[in-house]
Amino acid sequence: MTLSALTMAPPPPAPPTKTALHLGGDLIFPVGFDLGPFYPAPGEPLAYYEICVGHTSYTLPSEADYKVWTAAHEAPEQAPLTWPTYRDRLIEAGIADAGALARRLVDNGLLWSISANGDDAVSFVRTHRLLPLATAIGEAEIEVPVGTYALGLPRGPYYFASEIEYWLWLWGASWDSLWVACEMLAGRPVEKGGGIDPLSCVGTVLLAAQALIGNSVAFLDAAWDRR
Amino acid sequence: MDAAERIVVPVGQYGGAVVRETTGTTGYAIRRGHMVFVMSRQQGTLWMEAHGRTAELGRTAWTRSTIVDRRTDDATRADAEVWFGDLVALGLLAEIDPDGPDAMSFARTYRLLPAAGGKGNTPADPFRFRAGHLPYRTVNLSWNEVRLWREGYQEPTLWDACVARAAAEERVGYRLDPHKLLTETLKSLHYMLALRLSYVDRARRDDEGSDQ
Repeated sequence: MTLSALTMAPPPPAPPTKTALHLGGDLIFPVGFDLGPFYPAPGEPLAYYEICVGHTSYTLPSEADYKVWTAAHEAPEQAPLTWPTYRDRLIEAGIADAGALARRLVDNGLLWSISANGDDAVSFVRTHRLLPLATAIGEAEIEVPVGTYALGLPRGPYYFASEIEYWLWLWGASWDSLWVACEMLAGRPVEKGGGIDPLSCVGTVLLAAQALIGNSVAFLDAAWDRR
Repeated sequence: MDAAERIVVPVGQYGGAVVRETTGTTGYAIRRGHMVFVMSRQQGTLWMEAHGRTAELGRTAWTRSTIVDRRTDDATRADAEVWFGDLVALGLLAEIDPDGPDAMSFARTYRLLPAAGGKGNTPADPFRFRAGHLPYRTVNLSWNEVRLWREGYQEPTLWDACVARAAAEERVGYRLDPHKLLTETLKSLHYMLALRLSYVDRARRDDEGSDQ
């Protein structure tokens, strides 16, 4: 399924309003592997931006669609990225009909708005997995804030990940879903971020995943059995 | 191909330089499948060198002797050769002839995962696709290279990815030999590794749980 089939009507010119853009949950998560713009032939205009989730390719037909999706990636100054912050970001960007564009992303599973500890969060972690991007630098041989690990490129820039974030970044690709991460985290000592059971770890895993995505060192894909 | 001419491929995801909890010393961490290995800086340097160097892509063969030659200054050649052998034994380095039978064995044992996002194409050159870390490191990839890179990680093994790519081409009327695609991919693999577009990991198996 592609988004282009859903965007036949021209967007109305009015900017989104705070009441029109509510998506339901507290935390914002973009899903998909960003493959960038596609130009069909020399000199021709942009055809679409492509995002893949599992084996499915989605085409975002306009720069505005892509901006609404990428706006869900950027980590805010004050984590986590919540829907009000995301909404304000879209309003400030002045993207025409951003609410409708965001809704289409939600309908296609490219954007999720969920509560950190609700049933929708459990469903989300069972149906998505985290894949790391960039590389690790680590905690030695360069100056890093205490208790953090540098992720990024060998010559920078770096993101200084917390221990839980680094743990999720390093192991994420070996797990079929974020739920496996919750199970593994539950097995860790409390001083290492562990919880009493997987359910109690869902919020921690989600916040770590969001921080990694927001700093361009990971993306979310469909869980292995849903790809 | 002579054994000394086989290309060397690093296996695993680099976890950075970390402080060992037990000794307080610095080690290089590498996750491969469901295991993390932490090794000395000298041994880790050999593994890192197996990715290739961006400034030498296309003109250096990443063979055992090339990598051992790039050991740290404080390591002897004899030590480096022992460490290299240990990395092979641990499954953290693989030596392959892209044209030989071990290419298939490699492809069935490992998979390729992305480490960078796609940057699409441009109206000036729509037949080449960019991938990498803008604005720092990008590379242009051909159609099959980019398709394998962006889709291959959805398959359990690199060989499955080559077969899936060939099947996708056949659905739109093109013939693509998966063996040829594998050979070409292996020959150009160090572009993806050196530029941190991809990394190689163990194949994903349904019986995972214990280390593969």
